[in-house]
Amino acid sequence: MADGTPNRFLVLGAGRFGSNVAITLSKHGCEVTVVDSDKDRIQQISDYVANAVQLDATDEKALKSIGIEGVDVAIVSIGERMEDSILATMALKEMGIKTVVAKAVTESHGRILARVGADKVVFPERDMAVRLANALLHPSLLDHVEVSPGYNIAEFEAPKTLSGKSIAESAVRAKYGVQIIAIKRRRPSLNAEGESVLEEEVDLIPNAETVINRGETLLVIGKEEEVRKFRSLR
Amino acid sequence: MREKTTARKIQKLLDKLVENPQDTETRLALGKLYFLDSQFEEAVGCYRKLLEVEPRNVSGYYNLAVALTAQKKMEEAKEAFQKVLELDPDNKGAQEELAKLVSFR
Repeated sequence: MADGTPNRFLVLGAGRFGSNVAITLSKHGCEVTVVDSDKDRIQQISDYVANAVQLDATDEKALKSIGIEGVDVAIVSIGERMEDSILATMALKEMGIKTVVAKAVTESHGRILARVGADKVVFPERDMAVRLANALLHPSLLDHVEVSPGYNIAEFEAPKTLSGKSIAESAVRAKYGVQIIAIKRRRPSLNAEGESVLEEEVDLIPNAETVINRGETLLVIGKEEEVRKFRSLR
Repeated sequence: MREKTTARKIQKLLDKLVENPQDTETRLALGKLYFLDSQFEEAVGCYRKLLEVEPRNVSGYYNLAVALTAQKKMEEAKEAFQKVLELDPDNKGAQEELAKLVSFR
């Protein structure tokens, strides 16, 4: 794309991870080509993406034959055999694909993928497991992202003590050392069928006069310890 | 001004229900008015009364479930959505909402 945003994607492997990545990208208007050796998987995903091709993802000649050179990003999500994902990653880099993201199953698998040229390695099971464990330990925490070591963005329900106060009145920054970067609200509405629906609204970088209401979700950035203390307010 | 209009509309429906407490259509409309006005407790009460009169009213259960979600009463909301699906297994809205309630983000 003219603004540098990638738009053409190649997904090798139409298993659970690969198919979900492909479908999500496609929903956002990207041109997605999916490759898998399994005919049934290709058939299942073909309605959701621009191109779905049954072939061996480790076969460089076969990949070249479907014209993937112009792809912005290739995602390697072949999970069943580690050697296949390693070979596919190598083939893609040798073909000159600029960005290759590879899914790893283990740490050593990840290290090898990095060694053979993967630009990014993802560990979906490990990362999801960590998120789940954090969520179970801290039920009020909806989500948590490390921005850099010691600094987090966290998402959680607004503490009751701040309910009805503006951001300025709450003096969140002065008192707690964190910054509210967004407030999520769910606005009651009716859908096209006339049934009740809660529409999510996001107030990004809310101004100081914005009132925090009960039940709203805050996105907060700050040092880990300070975010944790702020979150523990009742 | 808007609050007065809503209050008037609510009162009109309440008056109708005094004349005919079994009028589920009016009670459903009242529940939705309460919901839109963020009076979730009242909305829930309305839908529950409706379901006493018509225990198989799909719309009643659906709107009840959404109002319970607004109150963050997630377990009760799940039960209400499940009831919708018992009565109307193909109800896409209930399928999606229930999946949202149980999925881990």
